Amino acid sequence: MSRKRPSRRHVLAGLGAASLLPFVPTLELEAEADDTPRPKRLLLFWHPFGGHREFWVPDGQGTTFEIQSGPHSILAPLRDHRDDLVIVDGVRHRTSGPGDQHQKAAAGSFTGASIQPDGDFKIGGQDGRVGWANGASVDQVVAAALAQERHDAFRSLELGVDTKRNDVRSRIIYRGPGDPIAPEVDPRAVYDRVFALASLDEAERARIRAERLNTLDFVHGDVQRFARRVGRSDQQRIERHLDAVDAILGRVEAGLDACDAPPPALHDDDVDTSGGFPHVAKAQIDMMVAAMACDLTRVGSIQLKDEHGRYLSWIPGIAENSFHSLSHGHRYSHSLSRLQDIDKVDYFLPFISFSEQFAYLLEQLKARPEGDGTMLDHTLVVWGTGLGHGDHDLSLPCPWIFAGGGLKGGRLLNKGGSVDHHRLLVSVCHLMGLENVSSFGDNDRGTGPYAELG
Amino acid sequence: MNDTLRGWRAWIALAGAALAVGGTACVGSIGPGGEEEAGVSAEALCEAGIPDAGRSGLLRVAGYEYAALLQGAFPGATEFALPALPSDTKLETYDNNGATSVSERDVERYESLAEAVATQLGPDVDVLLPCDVTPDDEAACLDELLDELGPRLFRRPIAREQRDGLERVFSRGRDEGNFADAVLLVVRALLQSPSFLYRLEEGEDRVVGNDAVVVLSGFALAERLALALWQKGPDDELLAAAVAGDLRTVDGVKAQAERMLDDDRAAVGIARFVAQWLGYDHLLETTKDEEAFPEYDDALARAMRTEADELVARVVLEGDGTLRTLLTTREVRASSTLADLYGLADDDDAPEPDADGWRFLPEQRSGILSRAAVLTAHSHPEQTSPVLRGVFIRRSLLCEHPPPPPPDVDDTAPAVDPDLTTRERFAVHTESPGCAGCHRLIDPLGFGFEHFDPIGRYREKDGPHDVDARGELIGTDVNGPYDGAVELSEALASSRKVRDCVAQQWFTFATGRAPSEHDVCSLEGVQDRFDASGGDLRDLMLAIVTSDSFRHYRQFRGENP
Repeated sequence: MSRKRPSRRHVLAGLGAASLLPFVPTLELEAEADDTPRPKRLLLFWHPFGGHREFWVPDGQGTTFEIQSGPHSILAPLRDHRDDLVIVDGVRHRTSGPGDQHQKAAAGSFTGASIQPDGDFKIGGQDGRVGWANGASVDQVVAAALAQERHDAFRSLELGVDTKRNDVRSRIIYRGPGDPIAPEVDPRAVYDRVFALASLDEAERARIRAERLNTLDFVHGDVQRFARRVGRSDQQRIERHLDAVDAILGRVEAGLDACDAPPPALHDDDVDTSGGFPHVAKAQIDMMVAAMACDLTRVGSIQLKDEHGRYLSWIPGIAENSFHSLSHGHRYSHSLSRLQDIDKVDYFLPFISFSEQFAYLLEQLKARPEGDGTMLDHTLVVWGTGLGHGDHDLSLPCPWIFAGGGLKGGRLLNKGGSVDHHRLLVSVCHLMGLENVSSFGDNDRGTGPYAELG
Repeated sequence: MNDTLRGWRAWIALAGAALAVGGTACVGSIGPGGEEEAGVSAEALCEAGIPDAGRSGLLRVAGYEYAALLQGAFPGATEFALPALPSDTKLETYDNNGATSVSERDVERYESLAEAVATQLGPDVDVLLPCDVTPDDEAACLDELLDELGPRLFRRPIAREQRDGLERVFSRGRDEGNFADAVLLVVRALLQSPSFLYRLEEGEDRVVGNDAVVVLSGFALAERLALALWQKGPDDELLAAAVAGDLRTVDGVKAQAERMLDDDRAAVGIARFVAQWLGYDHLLETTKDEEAFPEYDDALARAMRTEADELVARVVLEGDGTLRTLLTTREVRASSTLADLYGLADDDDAPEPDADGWRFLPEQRSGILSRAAVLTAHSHPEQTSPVLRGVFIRRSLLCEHPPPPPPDVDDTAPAVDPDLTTRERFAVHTESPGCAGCHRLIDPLGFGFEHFDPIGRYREKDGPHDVDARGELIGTDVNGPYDGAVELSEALASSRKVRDCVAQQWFTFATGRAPSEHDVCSLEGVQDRFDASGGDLRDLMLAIVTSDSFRHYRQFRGENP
């Protein structure tokens, strides 16, 4: 089939929209020549409503620390992975501008950005409305840079668990300012999208490919035609549509569909209700790891729930509670003496459940040999969150947890200290080879990377 | 509302300042947002009688609109089973605000949807064709098909360039497969076209005296009309009116709108609007505690929804069409499951239903607010919620937006406690000074529905206690105490503030945007007319679709139309 597609940038230049493209840092390719090669992949992990720092950050510091066991220790499920972890304590989420703490926590965790004013979303507890985050998230900046070097089947994969609404409290990943990416919440749909073709025979695959190329070729031209009829204020949105068609076309043309994985065994109820949380989360992790193992993508994110108070139906005893309300429990107090004041373990159950999923992710990455080590050695894993504690404002410190990607594990850094989360986002860019990034997000006060991490 | 309080200053005051009631201020009103732009002020334009309109942005068709357009385009096909659609962004309680960018995943979804439709059409493709195909006239038959399908899917004729592109899809498909295969590929291409997926606002004629605003083209206006009144695409007659230029005048728009309201499709569209407005559009996804309410299942939820939809259609399209009747009528047509829930089955003295199945509810209930769909949607799974129900009345009928609780409070509903009444369990709201500011505006509206349990069944007792459904209207133009949902509905039906709010709700839905200052002129005109008509809902829809805000669209300065 002969097709002539003018390059997207040409078309857009003609429309005067090129200036709307988000800034993409160039990859420091020299880093390749370095002794320590940058990690091949980046994988973000996220959960809402913070935690309780005293029962979250392990005892000790530096290389001598111990993750407590027991029902009050949020990280207890990670005890077996202690030596893979770099735990950075004292991470503070600095924000400015409008929005309530839940909106800012979701929007700002990985973007370091403020929230755009005057959008569709009511601010909790105050008058006024906000829109979406005003910047790209770190994974998307990295993905844009990696895409300059090599096209993967998927520039990035965004997977979510039990997050259904389409608003600023539910979005953590952004292509650019005001441009959120909704995660796929059904692992079966991820399977259909990423792996299902591999189960078909060669002739069937060829037929499907030809049909998709045929129709997508029309769609590509049609979106370009449509762009000419749309006002200037909406050009960027049409450009995004065209981008997406291009990416899909590229994937179909390359025929990157020969990667097999077992389909997730889930029921509708698992995906449609909170009750299936652990099964869905595991299945999403399986999908992500399988896609990365096949080199279908190098950048991904797994979002557990969102900053709305949804049910915790998978946890016996507190199934009827709203997570939001529960997270306000155990009022934050520096003077709270450890353990003996805590008469209930309810508060910790969801957070421990998130740790179990993170442990499962690390297990899966460690179970797959790659090069001299395992997949984990080549994958920078970042577990971030927004709130320090669900009952307090954003400025309370919390730990962020890093693993893999060649980082020296078994370290607890900055115990009791304070570090802006923007600096960790800058560090992630540096670790991924974007060493010319010096600040991240419109809230960054420009203090550079958190050097101790690397 | 006092006339002198209305107008821009009032909007701005409401949007920006505290609506102080009692000791603590409870802020928040749904009203036009500010929009700074140089040029003649919206107020001056209004005084001069020059048309003005806010900006909706490029809207994508919402999920339910996608499904409706599809079904309308293939009337012979059985209902399509569609894979997941891209998620919609809500505007207030409405699902039709698609003004966000698509992601790559969304575009993939559109591709999968198109493929699923083609696969399901596969066996019926002959039915689809307007012509008998012989090898010599395949091209002519494809042409006819595009003439027919194009306007149904795109809400306007297929452009020449698009047609060329689709013919290429066909011929490439024909090289590999038979005629039917190639036609299905064309269908897949049509369903992925932005002309199908977006609501294009376009026009040619600028407004004299306001160069930010353009008169919508006939096709764009036809699309707005059809989606607002029918929640479907335009029919042939509406498209013909667009071609003939009839939609350029207020009279032309009015004539078409009147015709459309007389059509059966209006019943579906209006019922759907009310379901979104009153928050029961997603009733089938609402779950209840299985132990406490074993009788609540999909069939009952469906019966509740059907009852509400039929009631809305009867009042608006067959009855006197007033808001008062919608809020106060006791007319009901209930399936047998729902008749049980309403206690109609037990009552041997009740009059028999008429030939069409309509009868009257017992006096415990009246209009739409005390029907099962509304009561069930605004309850917790295991207990009633005076808060959810009170917030619902404030939001949907008074257009006030009580803010969520401050971040440092536990907002879990108090656990069910047999020793306390619901009212006692919620007493902390009005006792604590931090909560009382808002909750004294909220809870006393919700208490009025306490005679109805979480699935809308009448009860005299809440556990062992007698139900106390007394409440009080505060911060309205019909303030005062009341007892029970019937009295509350009656009071709301007499309120100008409620009428203004209902007009604003419908306006928001019809235009697909929260009204901005550029919409105030149109909106106030609509509100005055709605009030003067005695709250005639049918006339309200005519007033909205003939308003300047509905018939124009706003551009950035310097844009070519």
